[in-house]
Amino acid sequence: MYRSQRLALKYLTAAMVLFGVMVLFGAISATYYVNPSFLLNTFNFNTAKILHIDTLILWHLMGFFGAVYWFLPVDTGQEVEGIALGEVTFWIFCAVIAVVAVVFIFVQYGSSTEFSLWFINQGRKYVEAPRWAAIGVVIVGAVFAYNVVATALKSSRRSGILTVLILDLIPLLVLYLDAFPAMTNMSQDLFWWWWLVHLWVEATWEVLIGCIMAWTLMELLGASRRVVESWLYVEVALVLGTGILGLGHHYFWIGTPRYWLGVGGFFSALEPLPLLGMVIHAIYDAGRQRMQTGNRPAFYWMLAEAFGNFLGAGVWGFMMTLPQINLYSHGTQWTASHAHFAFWGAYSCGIFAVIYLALGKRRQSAGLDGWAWKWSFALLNVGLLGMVGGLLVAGMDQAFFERALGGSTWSAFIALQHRPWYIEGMWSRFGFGLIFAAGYIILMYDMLTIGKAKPAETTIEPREAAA
Amino acid sequence: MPNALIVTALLLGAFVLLAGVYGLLYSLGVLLERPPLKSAGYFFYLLHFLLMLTIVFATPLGPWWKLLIAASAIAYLAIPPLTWRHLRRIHRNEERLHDSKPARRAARTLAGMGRGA
Amino acid sequence: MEEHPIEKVAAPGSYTADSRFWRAGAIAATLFMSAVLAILTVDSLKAIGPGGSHVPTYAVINRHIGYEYDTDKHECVPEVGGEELLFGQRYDETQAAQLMAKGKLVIQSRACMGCHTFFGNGAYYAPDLTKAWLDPLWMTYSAQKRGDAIINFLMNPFHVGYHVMPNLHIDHEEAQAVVAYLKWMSAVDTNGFPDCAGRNPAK
Repeated sequence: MYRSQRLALKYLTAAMVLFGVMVLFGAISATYYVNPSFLLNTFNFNTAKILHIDTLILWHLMGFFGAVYWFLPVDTGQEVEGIALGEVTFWIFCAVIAVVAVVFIFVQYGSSTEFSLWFINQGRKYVEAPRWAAIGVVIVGAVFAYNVVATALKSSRRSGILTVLILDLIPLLVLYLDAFPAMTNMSQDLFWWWWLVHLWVEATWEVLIGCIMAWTLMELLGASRRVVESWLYVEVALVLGTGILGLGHHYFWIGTPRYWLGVGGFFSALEPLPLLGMVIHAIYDAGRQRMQTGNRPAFYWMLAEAFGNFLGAGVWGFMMTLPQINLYSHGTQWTASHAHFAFWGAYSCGIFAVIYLALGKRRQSAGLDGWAWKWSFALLNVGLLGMVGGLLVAGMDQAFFERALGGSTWSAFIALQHRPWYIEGMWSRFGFGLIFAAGYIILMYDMLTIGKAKPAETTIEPREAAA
Repeated sequence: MPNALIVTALLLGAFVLLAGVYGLLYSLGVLLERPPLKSAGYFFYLLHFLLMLTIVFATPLGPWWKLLIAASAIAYLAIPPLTWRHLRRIHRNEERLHDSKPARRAARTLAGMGRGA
Repeated sequence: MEEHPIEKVAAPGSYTADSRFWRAGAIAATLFMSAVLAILTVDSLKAIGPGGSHVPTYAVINRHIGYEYDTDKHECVPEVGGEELLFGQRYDETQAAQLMAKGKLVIQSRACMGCHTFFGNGAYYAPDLTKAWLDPLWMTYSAQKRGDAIINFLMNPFHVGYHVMPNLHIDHEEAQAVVAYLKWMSAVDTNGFPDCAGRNPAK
């Protein structure tokens, strides 16, 4: 096994641990909605929620890094350049996350000084981590990029997938620089913040997962490099062709000019189209395999990725993206419904597929199967759908009664909390969240044990280029 | 608008969902060579189209947005067959490439490069 | 240059089967859309700077702010009226900017976005604060007293309704800055967000 792949396994393990932390703080966050005095003034909602959404981003990043470290040596036919540095920055990454989490939990917030922004909490959504930690993330990201680029330059094989990945890393890393500034003007702050958030999760991350899925298709299904690369270019063209100006759907209401209602709404409405293409592609590939594969969990999580992406990002997104709807749905539980579904479908399922692929190679067992992955697959997806459904009902109630009829006043907000559908939505989300958590526990058990019946340490041969 | 808010949103979501069901059934129908599945796909596309007409004629969206929805409906019709055809073509080209003499020669060259790397 | 083998087997005229076509498309689409985004960004940044077409200068906190229905635009728009001092003090642009900077620092240091939304962005556990300065609950106070009422709430949050705001140890100076920030924010033209039910004569 390449040293880079050993590092990949560390990253993927850390990613799954962080996923568990995310689930834990998600359950805690959900508790406040059904019990508002829960831990009041001891551990407030915002602290729990920050831990939930920050680990969301971080577990995905670790999953992406792990996937790239896994596939990179196989794609280039050589060990990753500077891998020793990559191993160091992995532990730096873990340490940074741990320290930030401890400070969030035990200090929570500071006074209104630069010190608080540097060392405690920056208070900007998803990038609340203090500036010192953001510097750490930049260093980790820079080393990761160095590992990828240096390996590509040294290798005699530079695939189209790798070229796309390298080009994608540039905006990926540059956009993160928005984690640092604290602009006074909220409109300006949010304008640039959306460059980071949207152009990550609806542009550069989509290209990144596209590259990872291309490699996964080659490894899992023996797909031809030329074919997956060709499809990758189609994806990049359509996803970036719609997603870059789809950024405008975040510029409806933050004080930006009116033309964003048209630009953002138009391109955003086109975003589901490539996602339908991805569903067709998934069916085609599944068909070529006749649904047969030695690694059933990886295969099924890949299918879940295509369908989940279409439903969560495409269908759920389209419901709320036109400005006429979004005026009322904006900043409600409806948004949370879409966000949970989209992240799950677009990214989480894909990372699980990569983890199972890596486990299959690592454990060299005859085939990965069993009861546990099926139970975890079912519980996680049912739990997720239940949470999304509960949030959607609550969100629609909120959009109609608090926003449309109530004019988003404080008393309209208070009245909403007593509405039966809203309350049932919140309880439903809580209950299905527990089902989701149960699915996570079984998933972890499965990932730790699957394929271990005949452990055999064998060398993983690098795959030849398509020939 | 508030009265039509939820209904319009649900119609928009169903619009895309039905396009997805059409795509799924169409693809399965072609894959498994079962015309009834393909026909079921077209039936769901018909529902998708009817939903588009409902959105155009029965919701308070502005005229340009309705035009966008109508144009999208045409695009959703084309995506499954075009995507399938494209995938089939690039896979066939790949298979032909492996079978052709120059390709076999190229493959030997590439394999040699790999061993020497 | 030797013809690529694929060109011998690809069907004539089927350039869409050539990955180079899609590679070119991906590059072209990315570059074109990025260029349009860059142009619109330059324009938008002008509009959203203090004093721009959509965002008032910080000294607007010295004026009366309203949010009334515009029959031409079919939405509520912020209205800046005559002098209405905050905390009985007239702030020049520099002083107002300092107050805003302090207010934003409080909002970030306390992670207000972890519970509230600003222009609808943030968390959905607590009310949206875009028009908090103009909330009917605070409008029961006169303009002169409203600022102090909100300050008292921020420093000692009382129980209102189902959700409870925690005590974040906000001191008087910080609370003043937050109130000023909320007043400035309520004057930003957000293209009609939040919709102003009750003010629209058609509803």
